Amino acid sequence: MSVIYVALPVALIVAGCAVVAFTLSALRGQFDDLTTPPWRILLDDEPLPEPGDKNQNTPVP
Amino acid sequence: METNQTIVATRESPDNSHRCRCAHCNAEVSTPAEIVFDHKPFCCHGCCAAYQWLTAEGLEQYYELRERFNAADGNRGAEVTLDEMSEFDSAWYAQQHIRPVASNGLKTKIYLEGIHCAACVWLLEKMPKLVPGVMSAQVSLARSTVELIWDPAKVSLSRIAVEIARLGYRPHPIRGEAKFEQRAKDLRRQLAQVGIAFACSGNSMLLAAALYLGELYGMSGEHIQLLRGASTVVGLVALLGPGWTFFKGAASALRTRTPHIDIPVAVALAVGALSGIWNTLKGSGELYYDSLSMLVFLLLAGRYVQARQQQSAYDSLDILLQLTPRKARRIRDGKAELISSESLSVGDTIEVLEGESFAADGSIIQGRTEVDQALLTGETLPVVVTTGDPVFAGTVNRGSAIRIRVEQVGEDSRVGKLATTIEKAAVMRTPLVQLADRLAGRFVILVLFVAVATATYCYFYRPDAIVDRVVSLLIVACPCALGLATPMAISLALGEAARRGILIRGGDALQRLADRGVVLLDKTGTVTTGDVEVRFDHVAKEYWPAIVALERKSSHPIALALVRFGNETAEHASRTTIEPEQVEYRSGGGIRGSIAGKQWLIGNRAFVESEGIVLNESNLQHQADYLAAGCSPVFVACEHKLIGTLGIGDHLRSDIVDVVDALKKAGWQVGLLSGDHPQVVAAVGQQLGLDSNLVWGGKSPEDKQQVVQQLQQQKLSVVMVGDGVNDAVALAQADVGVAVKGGAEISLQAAAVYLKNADLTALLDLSQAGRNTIRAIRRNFFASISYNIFAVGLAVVGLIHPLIAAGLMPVSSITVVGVTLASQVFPKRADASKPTGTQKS
Repeated sequence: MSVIYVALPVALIVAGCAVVAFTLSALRGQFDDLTTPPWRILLDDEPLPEPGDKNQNTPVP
Repeated sequence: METNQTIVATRESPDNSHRCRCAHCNAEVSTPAEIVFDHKPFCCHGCCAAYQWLTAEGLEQYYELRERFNAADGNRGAEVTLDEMSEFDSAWYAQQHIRPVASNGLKTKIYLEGIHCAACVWLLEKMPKLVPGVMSAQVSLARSTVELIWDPAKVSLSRIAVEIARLGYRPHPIRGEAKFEQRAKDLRRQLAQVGIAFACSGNSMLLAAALYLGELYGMSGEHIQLLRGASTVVGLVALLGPGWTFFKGAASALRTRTPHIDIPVAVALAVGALSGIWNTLKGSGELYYDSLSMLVFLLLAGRYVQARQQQSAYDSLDILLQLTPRKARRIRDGKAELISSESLSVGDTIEVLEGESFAADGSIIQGRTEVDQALLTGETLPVVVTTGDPVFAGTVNRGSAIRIRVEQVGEDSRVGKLATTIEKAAVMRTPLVQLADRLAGRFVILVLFVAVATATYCYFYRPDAIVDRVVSLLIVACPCALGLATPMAISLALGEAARRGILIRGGDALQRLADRGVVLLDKTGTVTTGDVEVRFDHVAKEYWPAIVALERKSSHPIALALVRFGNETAEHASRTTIEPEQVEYRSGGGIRGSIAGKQWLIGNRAFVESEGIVLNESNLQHQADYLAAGCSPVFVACEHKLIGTLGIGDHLRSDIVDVVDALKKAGWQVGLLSGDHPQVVAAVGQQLGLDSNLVWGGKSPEDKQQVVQQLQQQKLSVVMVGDGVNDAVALAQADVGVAVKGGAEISLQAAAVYLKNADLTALLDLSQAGRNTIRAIRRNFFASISYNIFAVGLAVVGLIHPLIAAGLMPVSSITVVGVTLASQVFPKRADASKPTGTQKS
């Protein structure tokens, strides 16, 4: 059962990483707007021409 | 505008229904539509141009998306000049709002009027396709803003702004962004804390579960010590990180000597943490870290939900000053120079061109023009002003260029005062004493009392158990479900309301709706349709072609109504093209012209009388009839003889009588508050069967606010329903302001509730929902407090075990959440567009 001496710290470190990731994303405002992004994902995207690319050789979706 | 020429030329009937809708903005258009393109009717050239533009760029999917996401309304495209948007290119704008980004782009955020559905998001995010030089556009639906990144070498920001306006979303620079950012930052920090608390409580529970199982099945001592140590670490992270808020809250509550829920929480956290550390070091005794971190998490989550709801309520007030232009053309030594409005001072001379709005209050020193004062009076018809007359900031010059002497600037101007009033009204609105706070206050005193009593009892009879019992009592007594009860119920109600097209800002509006008070309705656009029509016709048919020919020359709403009516009554006769000559308008009076050598006059009483026409007995009788029916009289004269009278007015909304009756049945008093002519308002009030004490006409925005205030002084809660800019102050002053769709942006900003559909049956739902929400909150309190009392009872007699404490807490919270989810806050509807009619819940 002494594997717990390894498993417990590892589990806590993993949890700590998740907390850090969440905290950073929350502080950077990724959860500010919860209405628009879910819609944005439903709207079909069309490839845009590269900025500065005058040829407009975009494939038709 | 050559395109428009061709559109008007193709006059054809798009379809046979009596009324059809504009293909771009969905506004009602009477048939046959004036503007037709692609066999589709349009309400205005702006919409038609927007439609043409979209289809030409292959973006007609917009209309399909709009249907799919069930958004009934669109935006009117508007022609805006580059000059009007030039402030986006100014130096101060660049300094305050523009930030450079990588790849030579610039970034800014702009507030747009009228973003309301997925189709709007889709369309606006296609800006890079519509306007070369725009690199990206990101819309925030919740805030009605768009974040633009563009290449300044290819396109100017003002050009982009003009194009956005062409789509029907009028852009404004954002004010108060710094404040908003500050609040957003606070919210983010709170969310991060909720996340940390959640992770800690989850991990604490895992560790605690291992310990409990170990107790049941046996576990070696060193492992127990390891788990207890880990549990202490995780618990302390939760208590000293996110949990610190409660210590701060408790400290300030003690300073102000108000019982607050933070006090027992802080005591429990402190006692729990200290005894936990002691027990860990000692190697025996109970640990409560799982319960404590769970407590922290649940309370913080409830607070976060509440703060988030309030964020949108704060988002409103900075907008009023956007109604005044930021730049003024100052005349000095005969030369004009553009300066920012803020640097204007009293005594300056400024020039205001046609179509511009006034930057300050002042009086005209040169010129004569018409001014649209809808902002202040609600009157949509322009008023004629000439040298010496006062003009007000924010009103729009509709005539020709004039020069004014500045008399009041900034906050001293009338619109500035209105803005201040709105802000004050919103701030001073007596805050609801949150039910939760009130209850928690009493509960806190009770719990502390019981804790002292238990300690005293143990001191004499069970001195060994004193710490354990007091700690367990304080921990289980923390009413954490109480913190969830209100925000849960309210956020569910808000979500349901939004699905029904009722946007509610801030939960307290719902709670205020629970008490029955007075509903005040604005007349034009709320009670009535707002579309002016000929409703009384006492003009012989053969005169109509002449009337139509004359009025066709004008774009005045009454003229449009006359033309429409003439086209319907006189049918083909009116289509014969008569060309009137010497057409002359008198703003606020009427129109004059000659047809085939005969002099015609069409206008109001003052106008025709000033031309020497004498009204006879029957004309006066007609006028009285029209006024009694809520219509404005119009007189028609030919060759100095009166040949007929017309009554012009708008219709009551079809459902308004039922709505008023149902509101009365539900216990509300219903009144009418309008800026229109008192006689007209009284007539409408009578039609609706309203108490004449509650009908006010001819009220300025400031008067409206006073009426609301007076009612509030009589201890009545006031719900104000309106749509105009002139209602904004009253909307902000009222306990609940309800803005109706199609209203001015500013009224939406001042109101706490926004109805997306102009359907007032939503009011019934709202009043019902307010009651039900309060009921749901009460139920939640009951559930949460009964758990606490039960647990306190167990703790006092020493029967509580950390396992029971750990179990009770989530169970009580889950009960609260479950009860809330199960409650039907809004009345059920078979058909989303029809009310149930009954007022039973």
